[in-house]
Amino acid sequence: MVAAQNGDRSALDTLLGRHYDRLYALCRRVTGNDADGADACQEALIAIVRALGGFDGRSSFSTWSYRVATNACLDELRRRRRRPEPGLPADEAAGSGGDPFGDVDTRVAVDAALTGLTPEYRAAVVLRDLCGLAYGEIAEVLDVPIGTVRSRIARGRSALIPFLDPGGNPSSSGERPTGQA
Amino acid sequence: MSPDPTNDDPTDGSSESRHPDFEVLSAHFDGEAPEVAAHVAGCAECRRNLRWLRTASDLVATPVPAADPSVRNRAIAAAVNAFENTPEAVKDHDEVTPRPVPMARPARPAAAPVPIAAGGRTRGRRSGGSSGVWIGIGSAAAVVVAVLVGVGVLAGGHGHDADTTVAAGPTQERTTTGVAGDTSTLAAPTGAGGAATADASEAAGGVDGGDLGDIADAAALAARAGPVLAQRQARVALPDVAPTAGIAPSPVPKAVGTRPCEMEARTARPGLGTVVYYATGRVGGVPVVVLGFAPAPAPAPVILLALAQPEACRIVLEAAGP
Repeated sequence: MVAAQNGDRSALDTLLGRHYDRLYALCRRVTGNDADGADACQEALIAIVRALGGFDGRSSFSTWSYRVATNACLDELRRRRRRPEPGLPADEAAGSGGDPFGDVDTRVAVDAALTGLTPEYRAAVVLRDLCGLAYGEIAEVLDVPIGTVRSRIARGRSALIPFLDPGGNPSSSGERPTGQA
Repeated sequence: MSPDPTNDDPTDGSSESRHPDFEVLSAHFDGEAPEVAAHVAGCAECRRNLRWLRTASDLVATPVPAADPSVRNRAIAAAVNAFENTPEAVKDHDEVTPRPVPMARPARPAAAPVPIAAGGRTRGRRSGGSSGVWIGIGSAAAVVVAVLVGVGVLAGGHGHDADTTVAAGPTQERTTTGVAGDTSTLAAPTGAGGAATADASEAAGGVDGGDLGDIADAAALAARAGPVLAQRQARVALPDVAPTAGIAPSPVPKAVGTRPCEMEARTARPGLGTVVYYATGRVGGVPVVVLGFAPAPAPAPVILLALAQPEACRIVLEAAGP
């Protein structure tokens, strides 16, 4: 870390390589498609290296970088609102050539379900369920109180439920849970 | 069933407390509301709601497929270049942590756009108008430099005139130092034709060694690349001599981008230095790109890497050049 902060290209390369996958996963899920996820992640990496000198270790690098990446995602979503929206994520619509993960339906379902959430709720849910952050860490990433985190996660999950059946697939059937937020 | 956040009538009658509302139950699901654990343990309805929470959570947690390696490498290279190009940004220790307010979008450095020929998807938004201007300026500068110094590259001497490449516009991996888009290093007067030739060709992505054919092993790789690299080494080591006789001057300079597989090689082997040699060939029948890197100024040895282009530019051979 110190070497990277001092401008050691190799150390910086290693640092970014080590964290790229998890940051891309966050960006991909929050933005909802591969292209925007890649864009947001690249912007996040650039923002990280530009601010790296100011990183003082008071929070973990992971949390700090999640924070930068989340902001990059929200920026990307704001930009996306200003340009035409495709009907489907392009990567899914064009993807008849085989999905290495074998479950395009699930990926589409995740994206469709999350698209219904506001970006702030989406980020909270993704930081919790995909990234595995604790509420306190999410509060730090989003710069909101823990109570707000709890509310956003609950409301976000509640909004996902209409897309699900108990098997995790899109469905409108089945008894819904009681007491939803 | 309609939501009932105030339900105090547990369906199984096994709990004496009220049902936690969905928000509290969601927090309990995450281990953040232990105070309702006793109720939930004895309440069938809450347990059923927990299953919904589990389903929703599992869906969001579905693993994200990894990014395409070329996308990954481009992003990392762009970030590294952004670091190098804006030292004042990284020396600013006043701001402890970036605020989560909408991030000031970093001024896109000239290096940020994707390499012209790096392969993989090139997105329109990534190569905006400003980068197009830089590419134009860089290409024009390259043409001027080539005319001024009257240089050619070695490819002509190996039957690959059509593929000869000279200086290019700004791409992020063109050099390991300096600001991308800044062609001043190409235009710097050297007063030595041979050195200028080497500089220009290396700035263009290396001397073109053509097709090396089938390459059996590392020794064969070194042997086939050796003659061209030896000429290069001699030229750089003797900057006062005229350009090597028999080397055809370059035809019309053609702007090139980063060499194929260059980004992947740099990712796999940090600190490779400038590309000074480029060729193609086959290893075990698989098409490869051969790149020669100079981690240190000549006459330090060149590192030769053969990368299997159809296999995500995996390094299949490595040898030391002259």
